[in-house]
Amino acid sequence: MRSRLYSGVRIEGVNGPLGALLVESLTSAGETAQVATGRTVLDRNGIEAEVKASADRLARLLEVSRGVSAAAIERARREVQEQSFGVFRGGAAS
Amino acid sequence: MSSSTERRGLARRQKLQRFVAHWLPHGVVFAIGPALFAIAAVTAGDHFHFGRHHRVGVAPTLIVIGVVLLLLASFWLVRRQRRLAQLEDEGRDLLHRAEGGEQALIRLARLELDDLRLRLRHYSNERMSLFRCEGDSFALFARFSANPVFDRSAGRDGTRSGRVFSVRRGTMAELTSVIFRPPGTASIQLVRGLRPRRDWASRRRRQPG
Repeated sequence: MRSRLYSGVRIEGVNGPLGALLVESLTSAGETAQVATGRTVLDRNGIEAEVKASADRLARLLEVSRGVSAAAIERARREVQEQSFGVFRGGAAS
Repeated sequence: MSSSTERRGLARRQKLQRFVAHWLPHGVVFAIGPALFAIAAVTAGDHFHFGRHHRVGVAPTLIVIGVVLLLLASFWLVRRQRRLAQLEDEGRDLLHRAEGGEQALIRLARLELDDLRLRLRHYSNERMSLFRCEGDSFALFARFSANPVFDRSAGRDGTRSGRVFSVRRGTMAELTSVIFRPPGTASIQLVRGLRPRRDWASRRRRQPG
């Protein structure tokens, strides 16, 4: 029977957890044996070892993405708020 | 009354206050001009002395003051509208740049995940998802799978990040317990998840391999 199996590692920065990497596998019982013998599919230690090689880059991406997303949302929110007055609106233009 | 209704009411009141505060001066100035013209009409023939020898009519003076006020108000309005258009362009430009930057970040993250996938020798059965920790919740940042169907399954919803973690609640609790387990206690490496969704499984049957 096929089931969805998960494994995950956390990615931490200096100030605390930044995020998590989740690995999902849709596999069967027979393939799980292959997981143990061959490929590093859901072996958490193996995943951690590989993630360490790119942890800096992933952490940087997570950090930067937080700022960019917040900026985009803030801009969108402000734009929507300003457009609610139509063409004529008050505030920064005065 | 619920808090969302209160918030909406407060926002509406603030909007109304802002509207009145910004448009009241315009209204007053635009009303004074015609009022001066009207007064000028009823003061025809009246005059006053400006200095010792200058006799000035009241009506022309009021008309001139009204015209100057209306010109000033119009200039103010035109300047304001130009500035608003400029701000709108700048805002739109910044938004596009932020969105472009976010898309680039997602592409970079997907490249990283692809690289990681190759190093881990993952097949199309596997999928990697990178979640950003936002306080007490996770937001999906990037996802990659060699299987396009799996790659585009629920949770990704386009390439925009900031989506809420879309795994079922039971699975979420399991994942949280594994991901945030203290270091050194990672004896359980596999988490037995829920059975795949019916539509996913049927699609898999239609696309063998």
